[in-house]
Amino acid sequence: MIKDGRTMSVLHHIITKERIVLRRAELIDPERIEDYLAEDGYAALRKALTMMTPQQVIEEVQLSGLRGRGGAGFHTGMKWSFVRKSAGDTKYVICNADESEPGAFKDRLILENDPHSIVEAMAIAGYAVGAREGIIYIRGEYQKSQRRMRAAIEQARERGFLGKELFGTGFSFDIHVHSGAGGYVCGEETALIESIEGKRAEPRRKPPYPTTHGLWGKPTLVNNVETLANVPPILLYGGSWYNQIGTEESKGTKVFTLLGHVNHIGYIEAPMGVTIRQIIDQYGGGLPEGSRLKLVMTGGSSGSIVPASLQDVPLGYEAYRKAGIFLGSGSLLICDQTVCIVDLLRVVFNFFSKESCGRCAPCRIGSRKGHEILTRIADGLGMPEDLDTLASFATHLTEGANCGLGNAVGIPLTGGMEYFQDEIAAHVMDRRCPAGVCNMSGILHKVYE
Amino acid sequence: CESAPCHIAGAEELLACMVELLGTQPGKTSEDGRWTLMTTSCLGQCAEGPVVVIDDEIHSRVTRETLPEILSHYD
Repeated sequence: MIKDGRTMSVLHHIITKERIVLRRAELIDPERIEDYLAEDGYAALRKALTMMTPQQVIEEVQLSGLRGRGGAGFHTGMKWSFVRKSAGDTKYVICNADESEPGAFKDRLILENDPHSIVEAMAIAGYAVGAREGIIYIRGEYQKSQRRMRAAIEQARERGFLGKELFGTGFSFDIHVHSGAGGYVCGEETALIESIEGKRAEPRRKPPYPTTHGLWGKPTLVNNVETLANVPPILLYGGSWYNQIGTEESKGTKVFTLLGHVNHIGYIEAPMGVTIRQIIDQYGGGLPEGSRLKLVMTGGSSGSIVPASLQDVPLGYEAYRKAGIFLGSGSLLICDQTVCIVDLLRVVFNFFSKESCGRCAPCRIGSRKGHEILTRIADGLGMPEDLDTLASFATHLTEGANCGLGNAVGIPLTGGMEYFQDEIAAHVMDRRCPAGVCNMSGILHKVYE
Repeated sequence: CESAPCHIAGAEELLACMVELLGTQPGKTSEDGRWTLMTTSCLGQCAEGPVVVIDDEIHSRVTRETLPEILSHYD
């Protein structure tokens, strides 16, 4: 919890030489296409359409090693090649701008500060996979992003960067914005597609994948905003340039959002492989006076609970396999000794119980029951069996859920139980909250409004 | 917003303050019909938490001290 009187300065850190996706942010006026054009704007699209075949574009992206920045980390070039290979004349490119992961606002930064970069990237993607139509699905709450994106699309059309026969070639492409209307699950690509189709946003059974059967049953490429923002630089400077940055399995840079008990709250873009300690010390200005690092929640509410002992692990996709650290959206919630693990998990489970689409039992029941149990524990009414129940939920959610949202509910729970077992047990066995946060009143809170 | 980053920034205390000031519980409307209080999931404004949205306006870094003044703008 934030103590009264402690001020947190908000700074946007800029590491000029390492910025790729945010290289134009705060340097150009995002509402002026002239500014964009003056900074290599649409040069990558021109190069792709006039000097490269679609196959060559895909090869450049494959060479770069770029992986999806929405959280799943699928190899982007491979996804593009799947859509390219899918039979059919009608294909779609969808930009997933539903960004709803708690702690994540990296996509909003790109949409608000450099909207044309996404227009350009989608046109390049359309050329590569054989699509003539693009849709940007922006969450309803991002009104400024929607406004700027619509304006950018209009400007691009006026200048001939969208529409018929771009740069005098046979390739035509246009984009429209589709507004979401709330719902974390719409960030799941098949739920997003259901939403565009006017249906209730529930993830589909997979296979088939959107690459073969997506929007309206057609081959569809769905890419996250940050993923796409990397594409024009990759085409301009080369896949092998991009491949030199980052780690063995995680290429390029990543936008990290830095929140919680740190002096400089905000965002940074840094090469993959940077550590939590480096981000906190070099970019975050360290922890405030009196704060000691207890844990970091990485990736968002669907992310890992990382103890201070793991703050030197290089961040990237491989960090999950090597140390259980889920990169996800790249958000880092820094927590000091005033944070209670039970309280944090309770808030996380509250989120999932409200956002679960309800389709599959592990997520529908696990998120709701898990929230009830954690609330009871925080009220000082936990029982030993509760710990076993939570452990079994972690397993069922991870193994049995129909989609990534359900799978992810188990991640913070597993981490919390692994690293803060004693703290959770103190609530149940000793009726005590070591961090002094939980009310432990012995009176049951009403859980639902 | 009641998600984890705003929670760490003090959203729960803020919510308690709002219940007091508005005279209504989360999920309900005040007696005079002027205010409906809802909690919501992450709005993507996490560096500026705790975040409160009133009608269509997003208010950032709201505190117990600044809340009464913000609410008075809607009188």
